[in-house]
Amino acid sequence: MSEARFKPGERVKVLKAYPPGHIRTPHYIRGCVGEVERICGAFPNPEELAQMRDGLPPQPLYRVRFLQKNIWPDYAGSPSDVLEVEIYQHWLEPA
Amino acid sequence: MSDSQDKEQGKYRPLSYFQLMEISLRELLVEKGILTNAQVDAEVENMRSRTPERGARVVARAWVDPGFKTRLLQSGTKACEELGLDLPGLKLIAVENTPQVHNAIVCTLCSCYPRMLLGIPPDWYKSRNYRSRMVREPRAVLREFGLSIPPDVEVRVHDSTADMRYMVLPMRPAGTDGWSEGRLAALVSRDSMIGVAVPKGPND
Amino acid sequence: MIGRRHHDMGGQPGAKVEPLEHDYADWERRIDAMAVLLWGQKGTRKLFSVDEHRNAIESLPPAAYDSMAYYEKWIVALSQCMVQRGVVTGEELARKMQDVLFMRQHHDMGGRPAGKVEPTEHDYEEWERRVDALSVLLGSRKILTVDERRRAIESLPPDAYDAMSYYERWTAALAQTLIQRGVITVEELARKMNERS
Repeated sequence: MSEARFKPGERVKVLKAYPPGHIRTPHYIRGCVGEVERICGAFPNPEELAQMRDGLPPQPLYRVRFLQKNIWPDYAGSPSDVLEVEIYQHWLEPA
Repeated sequence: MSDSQDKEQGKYRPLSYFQLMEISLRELLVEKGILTNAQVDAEVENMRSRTPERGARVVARAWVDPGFKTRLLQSGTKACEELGLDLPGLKLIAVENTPQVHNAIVCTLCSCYPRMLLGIPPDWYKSRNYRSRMVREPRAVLREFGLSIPPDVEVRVHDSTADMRYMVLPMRPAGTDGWSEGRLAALVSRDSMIGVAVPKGPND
Repeated sequence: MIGRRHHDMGGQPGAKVEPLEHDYADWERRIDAMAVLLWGQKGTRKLFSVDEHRNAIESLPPAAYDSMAYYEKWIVALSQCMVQRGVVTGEELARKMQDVLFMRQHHDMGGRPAGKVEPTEHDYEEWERRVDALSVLLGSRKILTVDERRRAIESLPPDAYDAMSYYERWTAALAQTLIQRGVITVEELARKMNERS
C-alpha cells in the first residue's frame, strides 16, 4: 500500500480539485481544513475501480473531523458541532 | 417468482420498464450460467433476515458488558461477530452517544448503510432532502424527526463517503437497571442506531 | 455643479475610433436574447425594465465600466436586476455559479438546500429485493464492483436521476455495468426485454 502520510491529530486541508468521474470526496468539503481523527486502513482507489481498473496499490483512508462552522458560513447550530468525513489520502495536503 | 401472485390477489399491474429490465437481466445471467434463480432467491431471503434487531442485540450487549463495549468501539465488525452475527465485508465503526455528544449518520453521495448488520435502509435515508440537509442543518432535520438536541450537546454527523459503515451506539435509558439483554434490545429502534431518534424509555 | 456620470460620455475628449468588430459568440447572443425576453419585449412576461438594466450598468464603478466588455456588463446587469427583483437570491446565484464552475455532479448533493425529510418507508417489492440480491451476488463473484455500479448511477442525466426510484437507478446501473463488462450485449438485453414484455 502507499505509505500513510498523516497521523491522527494532524491538521489537513482537502484539495480544491474538481475532476470528472466517480469521486468519493463530496463537493462541499473541498478546500476545508480539519483534523485527522483516525486512519481507517488502506483500500483500493474507488476512482480507479469505477473505471474497471484494480485501484491498486491500496490508498490510505482517513476520517477527518471538521467544525461545522468552518464548513458553512451560515451554520446555525452549536459552535462545537462537528462533521466527520472519510477522505482518501490523495485528496489531502498538510494544512 | 412472485409476479403471478399479483394476478391471484386481483392487483395485476403491467410490468414497468425497470421491472422488465430486472427480469431480463436475471434471465440472461441464468442462461449464461453465471447465476441460478435459486441463488437469487436465497440471497433475497438472506437480506430479508438482516433486520435492525441484530443491531439492537449489539447495543444491548454493549450496555451490559463494558468490555464488549470497549471492543465494539475499537473494532466494530469483530465485536459484532462475537455475537455470532455474520457480516461479510462490513467495516463497521460504532460511534457512541454520550451526554456531551449526539451522533447521526448520513451518506450524502449515495446510500451507504451497514446493510449486513441492519438490513436495507428506509426510503427517507436515501432521499434527496435527507442527503442534502443532514450535513448542513442536522439539528433542524433532527427536530423534524422529533428529536431536539440541547445547544450544549455536540451534534456529530458522519458522512459515510468511503469504505467504512456506521452505527450509533445510543445511551442506555435511565430506569433499566437489572434488565435482561433481550428486554433492553427491545428498546433499541433502527432509527436510534442511525441517530435520528433515541431509544424508548422503560415507560414508553 | 452636478457631476457627470461616468457612462454619460457625450462631448468628452477621446482617441481615434478603431473600427473593431467581432463575430458575436454564442454566449453573447444568448445574453442579448435573455435580456430581450426578460424585458418583456417578445410577448414574454416582463420581469424588469430596460431602464433598470441601464441603471445597473451605469452603477458599475468607472474602472469596471471601462475594463469590462459590452456583454460582460450586460450579464452583470441582468444578474443585478434579477436579484433586485427577487427572481433569484444572491445566494442561489452564487451557489449555481459555484456548481457550474466546479462542475458539481448531480448526485453529490451534501449541503444543498432541500425540503423537509418525509419519513416514508415502503415494504420492498420482490423485484427490488432481487435487484439488491443480484448486486450482492455479482459483487461477491467479482463479476463487477460496487464502484462501477455507483459510477453508472452517477452518470444518469439529472432529470432521470431525480425521476427514477432508488431501485430503478440500481437496475439501470446493473444493466450498464454488465454491458460494459461484456457479460451481456446491448442486443441480448433488448431482445430479452422484448421477449418478456
